[in-house]
Amino acid sequence: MDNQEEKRARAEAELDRRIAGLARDVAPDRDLWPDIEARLDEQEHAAPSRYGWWGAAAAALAVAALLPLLLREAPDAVVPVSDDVPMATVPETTAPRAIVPEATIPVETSPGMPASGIDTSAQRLRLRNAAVTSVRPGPEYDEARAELLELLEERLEGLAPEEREIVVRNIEAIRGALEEIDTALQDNPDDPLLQELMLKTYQTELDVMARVNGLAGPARRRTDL
Amino acid sequence: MNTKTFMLLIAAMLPLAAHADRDVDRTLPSSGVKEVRISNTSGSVEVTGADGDEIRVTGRIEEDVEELVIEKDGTVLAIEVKIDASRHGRTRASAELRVGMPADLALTVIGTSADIEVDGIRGEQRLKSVSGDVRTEIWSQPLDAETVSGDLRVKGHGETSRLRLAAVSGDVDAEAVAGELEAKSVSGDLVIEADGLDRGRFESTSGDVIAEIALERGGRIEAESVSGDVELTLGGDVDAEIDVSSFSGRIDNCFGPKPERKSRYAPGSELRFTHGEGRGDIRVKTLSGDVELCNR
Repeated sequence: MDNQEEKRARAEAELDRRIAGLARDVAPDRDLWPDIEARLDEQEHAAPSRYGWWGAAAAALAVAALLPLLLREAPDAVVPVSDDVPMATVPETTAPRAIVPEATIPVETSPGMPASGIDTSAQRLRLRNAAVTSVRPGPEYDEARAELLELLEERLEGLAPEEREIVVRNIEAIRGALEEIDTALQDNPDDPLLQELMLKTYQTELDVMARVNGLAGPARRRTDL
Repeated sequence: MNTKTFMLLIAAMLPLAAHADRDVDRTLPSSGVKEVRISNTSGSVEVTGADGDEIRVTGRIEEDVEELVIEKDGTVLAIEVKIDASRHGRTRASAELRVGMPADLALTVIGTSADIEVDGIRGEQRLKSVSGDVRTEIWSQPLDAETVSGDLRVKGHGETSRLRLAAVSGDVDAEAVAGELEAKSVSGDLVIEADGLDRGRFESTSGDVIAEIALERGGRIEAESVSGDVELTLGGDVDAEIDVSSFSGRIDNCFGPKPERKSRYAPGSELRFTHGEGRGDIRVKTLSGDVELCNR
């Protein structure tokens, strides 16, 4: 087993450990509905804003007036995702957490990434990576994923374009699934089903990258299996 | 055409002639061989199990294939289609190989875009291809098969075995298998028909899971999908604790009990009940995929 395989195995074992530690059910601390109802009532009976719809119309006009200026200053090239992209956070809870909340996640941009807007597979993977989610399963996973991703980018170069497209599209689908689960987790941070699906989807991503790396590896290594 | 021109033309064609398509037909004794490993980048590999103690390699290799290497190293016989590195990317570098070998030997086949087809091999099998389809049949020995975009098709003979089937966008189709089965795909569908399953684990991200299963006593099935649907048909005497959860998918159950909302404030529903004495264990989880649980 090489170093990368060991790291992946450790990351997966860590994910397994966290999955095993997930609560089967998490009962809410209290019934939140009365509070929600009360707030809804407050809003219904609240005094109308002193600006009313006149204020909204004025704001819309101001945005319309500034729009040409904003558009003119927008760069032509594809803008790499930057650190100040707002990232959602998952609030702390008292329940045992399987997923480590992160205020921000490191954005994996390549120093050599051209600003030409050319959409290579590697760029797509990196850009999608940055947009995945605000929660991470831990540093071991990050390390294993970063190494697998680096190798995957190399391996993709050796594949036929249509094959490369299939791999990228499927990894994007996994990341889309992570985002979908993450969105659900924003509203239901203690849901053990969502936490489990999230951790398992992280495992799927590692697994798929490792499998593609293995299958698309150099021919000389194939008989070493 | 004068003589000089004719000679130049012949000289120019010589390198082509050296790499013209050629037929292969080699036979080797299988004594001392426990495993056959075949590596072919593109084209096809057909392996057939047979009686006897010979390994026969036949087929056709295209002009850009450098050579077909057949080497015995200890108990392993390696058959490798080698492509000259400088000719990588050319279109005429595929090989169509047919290998006949004793049925009880272990088999490993690695292809990039090569289709893999295996018949009558009763030894352990490892079959891997990036874009090629993989089709095989199994008896009691383990099978490990992987593809990225190719489809995987496995036909069992009802014997208990251990199978690991993984694709990325390809479909996975296993019929008449038993024992332990792990099947996964990202966007491909998993279609499983298993009689006498001890352990079953089915995972997909967006592909559907369609499984018709008779669970062994005390057996366990886990099926998970993010957005794919899960359709589970249970045969035989169903004796299991059943636990189905979906965050936003619909749950249909032919066994009677109705799913319940997990919470007044979230869309999820779950279904938990015991059928028979509850010796087995069936768990299904999805995010948005629908779940249908029925009996045959």
